[in-house]
Amino acid sequence: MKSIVTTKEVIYCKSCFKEISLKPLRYLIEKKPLLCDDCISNISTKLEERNINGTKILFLSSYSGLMKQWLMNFKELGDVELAPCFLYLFLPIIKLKYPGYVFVPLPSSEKRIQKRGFDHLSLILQASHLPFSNLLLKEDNEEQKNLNGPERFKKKGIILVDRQTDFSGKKIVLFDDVYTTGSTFRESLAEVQKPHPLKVKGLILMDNFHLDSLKMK
Amino acid sequence: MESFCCPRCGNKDPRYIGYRKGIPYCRLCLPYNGKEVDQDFKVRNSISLELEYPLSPKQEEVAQKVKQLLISKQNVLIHAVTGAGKTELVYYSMAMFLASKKHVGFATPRKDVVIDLVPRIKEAFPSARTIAVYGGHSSLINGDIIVLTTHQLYRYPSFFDLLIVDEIDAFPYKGDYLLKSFFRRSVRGNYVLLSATPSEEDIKEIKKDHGQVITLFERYHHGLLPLPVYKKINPLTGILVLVKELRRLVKLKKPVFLFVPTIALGQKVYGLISLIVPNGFFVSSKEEERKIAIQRFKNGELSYLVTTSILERGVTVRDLQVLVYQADHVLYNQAALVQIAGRVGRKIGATSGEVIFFAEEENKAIKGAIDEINRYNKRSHLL
Repeated sequence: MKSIVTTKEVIYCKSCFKEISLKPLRYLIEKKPLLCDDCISNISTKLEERNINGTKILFLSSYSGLMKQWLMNFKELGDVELAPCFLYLFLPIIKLKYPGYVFVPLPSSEKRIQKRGFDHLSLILQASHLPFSNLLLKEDNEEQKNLNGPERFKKKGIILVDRQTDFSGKKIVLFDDVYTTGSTFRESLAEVQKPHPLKVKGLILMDNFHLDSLKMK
Repeated sequence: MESFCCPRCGNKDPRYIGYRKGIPYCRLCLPYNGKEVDQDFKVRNSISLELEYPLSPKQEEVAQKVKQLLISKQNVLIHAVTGAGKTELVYYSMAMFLASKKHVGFATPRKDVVIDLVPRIKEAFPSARTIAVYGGHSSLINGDIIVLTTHQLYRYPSFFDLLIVDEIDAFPYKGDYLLKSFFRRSVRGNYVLLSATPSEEDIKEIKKDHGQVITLFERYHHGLLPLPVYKKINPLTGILVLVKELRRLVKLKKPVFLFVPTIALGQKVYGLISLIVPNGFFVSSKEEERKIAIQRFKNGELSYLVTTSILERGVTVRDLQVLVYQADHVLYNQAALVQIAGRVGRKIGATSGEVIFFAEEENKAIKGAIDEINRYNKRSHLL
């Protein structure tokens, strides 16, 4: 009998760089695993749905531990290899929960994108192979500077890129990384709802909402 | 895949290489992206060594030997016992390099040691601009003498004509590939490594890299190294024995360090002990106020400190006594125990003191540490 020689490509964890040795079950499900078992177990899963202004928003994780560290490395240090890791664990749930939806990332200002070299939310969606569309835009206009005091903090200057697009029958998931006070998110929600799409839902990577943060405002 | 070598840390392993818009980047040293030194920085004229105290004859001999080796372009590893006055051993060499306007750096893995060292070096070289560079203190990175943590070495690519690295066997430098490559890349001349407990590999490595090992087994005050005593404890009553010893030493008005292996255990032990023996403090890497607590301890306001391994090296307190709880813990290797014992008897006029290892069994590390200190004492020719 011929002996069967199998060659296996060595795969390293994107987060801790250790060699991934999978349990047989994961080999059946995942074609190309990104993360090792240890790192996956270090992701704090929250999976909590909350109703905000009549819109259902799903929170995937809390703003702590490994995910927080990834976001730091990803956004501030530009470690773009981490982009597919964020939604990796949640992808099966997301795909089942939002069939036929288009993901809309919350916009970053042009200046921030230029400084960073990439739009981090779009990159996460792109790396996770989810259908997305940059419908929203953040204006970094001078007008904001002219507003004074609390006025200035009320409006973040988020607008639709194109008001003429036909939204009827479209299903939208608004996507953001960290939810703290929720003011930006609510403003974006209102803006997206203006052309009356069929459905609007929310997806948040990390929940950083505390009652204290509201009081501070 | 084309080969890519990180210009900052020299990493070539593809597992650490990512691609940003098709351009390779190193993921290993990503956090080390701060500003780098101005290569054209000119060292000030006429910097001289102004030591207010003489070196001991043995120190003098070793210091001259180091200087001679550096003149002949050799690297040096100084293996000197704890409290030998290692820093002073390189002063002559530093002065020589500074006189010819060369770049001199003094690196150590620990931030606390940097903070402790800067005033001492400033005193020895009053006319030099001595700067400290460590995490959170890096706005000024150009100076005549740069005292820095090994983490900050990445800011100085092939900059130092003389780089001294203290405590090479300390965490986190020991065994860290990244820090070692920062070190290699920052030296353009020669280097001097200092350690009280170098490993076999350290000695092998320096011999390969045309270097020499110089030893000094005598403390600068000619006193013997305090010999640790092993005390067997039982898991149930161990803490009581500990409290008894601590209370005895505190009553003698001696400052005491009580070493514990982990933060969790430290909190537990301190919680209990503080009920019986007042006026102490628990310091660990997580304790924000440790700087103040250590200062208060040195001033004599606190009578004892419960501490994790953060105070195991680089600290000098007059007439200190040391207790080690659970010295047979896996975190305490032989080198760590020798370092801890080396905290005692470092000042002239207080050259002896007690070191007690409390453990359930006398393991290899404890035996080894006691043997090692015994051996050093014999080799110092003072016995």
